[in-house]
Formats: sequence, C-alpha cells, structure tokens
Amino acid sequence: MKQKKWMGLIMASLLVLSGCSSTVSKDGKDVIASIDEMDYLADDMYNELSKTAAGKSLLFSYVLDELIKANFPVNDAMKKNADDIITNIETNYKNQYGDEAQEQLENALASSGYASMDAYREAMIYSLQYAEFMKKYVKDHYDEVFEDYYKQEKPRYLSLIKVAMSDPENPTEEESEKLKEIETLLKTDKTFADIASQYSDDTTKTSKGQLGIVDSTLQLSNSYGSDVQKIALSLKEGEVSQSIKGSDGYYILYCSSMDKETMKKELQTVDVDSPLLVYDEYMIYLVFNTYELKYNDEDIEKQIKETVEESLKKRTEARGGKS
Amino acid sequence: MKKRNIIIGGSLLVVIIVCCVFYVLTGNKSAYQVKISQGNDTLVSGSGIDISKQDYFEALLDRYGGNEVLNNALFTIAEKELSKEEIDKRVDELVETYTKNVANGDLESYAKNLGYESKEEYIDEMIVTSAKQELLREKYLKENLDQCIKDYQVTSFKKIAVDKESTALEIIKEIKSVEDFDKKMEEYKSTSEDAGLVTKESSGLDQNLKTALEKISQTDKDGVYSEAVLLSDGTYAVLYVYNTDHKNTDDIISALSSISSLQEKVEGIYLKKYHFDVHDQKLKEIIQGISDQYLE
Repeated sequence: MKQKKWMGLIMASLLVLSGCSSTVSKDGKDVIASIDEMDYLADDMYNELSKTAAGKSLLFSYVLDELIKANFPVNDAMKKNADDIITNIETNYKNQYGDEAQEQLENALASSGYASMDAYREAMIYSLQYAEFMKKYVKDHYDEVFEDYYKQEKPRYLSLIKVAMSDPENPTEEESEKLKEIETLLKTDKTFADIASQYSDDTTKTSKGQLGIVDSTLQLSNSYGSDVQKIALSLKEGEVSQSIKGSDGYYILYCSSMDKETMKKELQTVDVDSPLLVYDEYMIYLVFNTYELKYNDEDIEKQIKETVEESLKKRTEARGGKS
Repeated sequence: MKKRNIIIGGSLLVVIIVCCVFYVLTGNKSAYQVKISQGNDTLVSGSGIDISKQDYFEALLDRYGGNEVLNNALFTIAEKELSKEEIDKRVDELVETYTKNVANGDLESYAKNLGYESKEEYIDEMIVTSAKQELLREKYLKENLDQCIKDYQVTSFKKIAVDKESTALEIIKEIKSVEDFDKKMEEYKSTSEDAGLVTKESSGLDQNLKTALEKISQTDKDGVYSEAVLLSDGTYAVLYVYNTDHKNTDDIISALSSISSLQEKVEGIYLKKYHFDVHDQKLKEIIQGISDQYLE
C-alpha cells in the first residue's frame, strides 16, 4: 500500500515536471507557436527575423555586447561606481522632492525607459564596461586618436565670468552695473583670471573661471545657453568675447590657449569622462575592427562586415569625404 | 522485499530530486525552451566570445520574439478572415499615405534611412502588417458595432461653457433646434466648440464630461442634452448631441480603431478564436506582459 502511495507521488511529480518544461515539435523541429492546425517553427522564425533590417542591426549590437562583456567583465569598482551614482541621484531627489522623491524618481526612470532602479543600475554598469572597451582602444592608439580629435573638434582652453541675473531680458540696475564694471576691468591690465575669481557668480569662480578643455562634446548650452556654446567654439587664442546673454545671466568668455601639446599631455590620462571616448560617434566601429573574430557562417560574416562598412562610410561622409 | 522497496523508492526519489535540480537550473532559468536546428553551431568566435546560432536566436527572441510571434499569428488570422483584394487595396492606400505624409514623396530613401534594403522590404515588413491589423480591427468593429458603440460610449456633441448653472439651464430651455444652438455658439464663441465624435477613451475630454458620458451617450435623439454638466474648471456645459442614429459608421469605426485597449481586445478575441498558443514558457510570459488578453 505504501509502495503504491510512493509510486503515485513519484508519477505525479514527474508529470508536473514534464508539464513545466514541455516543448512541441513537428518533424523533429521545435514549434514556437501555433494557431489551430498551423505551426510556426522556431527555425522559420529565426530565418525570417535574422533577415529583417532589425535583425541585422541586432546582430552587430549583440556581437559587440558579447565582446564588451567578455573582455571587460563587471568588477567591484564598476559596481561601486554605479552604486555611488545611484546614491547621489536618490539624495538629490530627496532634497528636491521630499516625501514625493520615490514617486518622482520612479516616474523619471519610467520615462527614460527603465522598469526599475535595478534596471538602471545594470545599464549604468554596462556603460562603464563600454567606457573601458573604448578606453583601451584610445590608450592603444593615443597619438592617432588625439590627432583626429584635435583636427575634428578644434578644442580650446576657455575661462568664463558670469553675472547672474534673475531675468536676463530685464536686468536690475545692480546687475547691469556689475556687468559694466567687469567689462571696464577687462580693458585694464587686471587679468581675466583675477576678475573671474573676484566677480564671477559661476561655480568656476573657485578655479579662476577656468572651464578646462572645451569642445562640442562639452554641452555648455545645458548650463549656460546655446549662444554661449556657439561663441565658445569660435573664439581664437587670446580672444575675449563680448558679453553674451545666456540662461540665468550674462557671460564673458576668454580663450586662453589652443596649444596642442599641452592638451595632448593633459588628455593622456584617459578616464571615463575623457572627450576622446565620445567625440567620434563612429569610433565604436573602428574599435570593433581591432578584435579578431572568426566567422563560421558566410551570411553572418557578410551582415556584420556590411554594418561596419556602412557606418564607417557614413563617418567619412559626415567629415566631408575625408576619414 | 521491504529492503527492495526501500531501494526502489530511494532511487526514484533521487531521480525526482535530480529532475527538480535540473528543472531549476535549466527549465526555469531565463533560457528559452524552444531550440532551433543546429543551434549549437558556432556563428562567431574569437577574442573571448563564442556565439552560437541558438545564442543569436535567443537575442532575437529577447528583443523581438513577443511581437514577432504575435504579428505572425495575426498575419495568418488576417489571411483567413480577409480577402486578398481588400488587403491589397489597403496596402496600396497606405503606401500612398506613407509616401506623401511620412516619406516626403520618396519612400525608397525613407526606407533605406530606416535600415531597410528597399521600399519593397519596408512595405513587406511594416505596411502589409499594418494593413492587415487595421482591416482585422475594422472587420470586428463592423460585425460588433452596436455593442462597441455602447461599450465605448460613442457620442458626438457641440458644447457651450458658461459660468453659472442658471445661465446654462436658461440656454437649455431656449434651444429648440440645432440652428438655435449654432447661433448661441456664436454668442459664446470663446467658450464653445464642436467636440465631434468622442468616446470614453478620448484624450483631452474634460474629466467630468467623461464621467457623464455614459448617460449622455444613451441619448437616442439629436438635440440639446437636458442637464447642465459641471466641468472640472467650475463652468457649466450645455451640450447639443447629434448623430445619435450612428449612421456615421466610417467615422465611428475610425475613432474606435485607434483606441489601444480596443485594439488589444479585438486581437485577443481573434487569437483565442484560432486557439493561439505559445510553446515556450519564457516567450509566453513576454506575450502576457504585452497584454493579458492574448493567451488563454
């Protein structure tokens, strides 16, 4: 009797287990879905999807992701970095929204396409792996990358003085007076750096107005307005701009240097914030090409190589026909 | 005998435990159960990676699997429910619309910019799918129009908003015809509008009007609605309800067709009609995540 009970329990368990992991097959091939008598084979789905534009695009992205993960696996430093960033974000939200911080944060994550903070953390860690992937290439090809960066971006050392205004369209008398005083001082022998550290309302005041190396990847427009960005990238070495109306006030810029060798030395410590990692949106394809891959499928090889070639062609076209 | 039974029972128990562990490690992980032929064949290797055909397939499933399976199922259903002529006609209309309104007259360049090889590929992958899905929805709506009109509270109205309830009631008393109402709309030009055809899902509809819509939509004769509706901004709406005979079927079908909850419902009805089933647990969960109406 006991044995029958055992057998019953065992058979029931086996049935449950088999039901949980069952596949359906037809002529030895797995069926992925069905409608009445019609079966949709996994093989057919693979053949169809892999030939679509979306499937081909995914192929390159997938191989790239695997390369990144294999060569730059997640480490403790990346996890800590991501956790620190998230802690900062949560603190900022708490300071800004108080009791509603959690709700606001969840809304912000959802609108950016993240289902949860865990998903965001994962994406953050991946971006650090990606940065390491790019960093290695930049370090290994530093001279070549820097030359290209300097030629494409024409970077410069800039400094800034800000006169804060609650309404730049209608400055108060006090604000206008301050701006006038700064403009007058700039015509004297007093240096831009000294005027910035004494009078500027920007946080760069503590570093005598220095913004460091500025190029198009540094989005000055986000902090100061689009006109500041535009004029910043047009100043020549030694030139001081006119007063520029921007967000929250008026700005005066000074281009202290465009010296290539100084910049090359400064940027040689390639960190995750380096402009060399981001200035060329097609660099990823150059990096990809440095990895030796063996293809066992002609179609796959053709698709991936075509994706890379087309992108590098776009890079050349974007540079006016010069790579 | 007792010893033998213990051994058999013990062995089978071990088998169950091993099966459970195997199930936990493989069948219940994030891996897909469904496999493709020669899935273990390596596609790309070197530099630390080894990507098999199955790996690539699962990457495709992760990104596109749910929608691809659904589109294929609805595609097949559309071919059973619709005629080739009506599908071709709709495809031609959509190609013309897309070329004019989306592609600035050049569908070939537009398609290539999106990564398609040619406009034909774009038409096959996108426009034909859209055409079939649209026609399927419209077929359902035509066959179930009265119920859908009721369920979605289809109403057409013109509206005048006034500050006081007493003013609203006065206007309601005055209005004897649509011409009277139109004249009154001229008088209250800045706070009047012809809302046209609305449903309970219409965006931009005042919340209080949405709440009252169930009752308003039951009006069976064109004319001024007998109650003044308090709007969420504190003003009062006087409504003239029209097209209560719902003979404007094309407009109604077009409006209902664009409601996403109705789209899901219609697709769910057809999928169940044809006993749509998915033979991979993970993919099933993905599709259930898209809509809980698609699978039994």
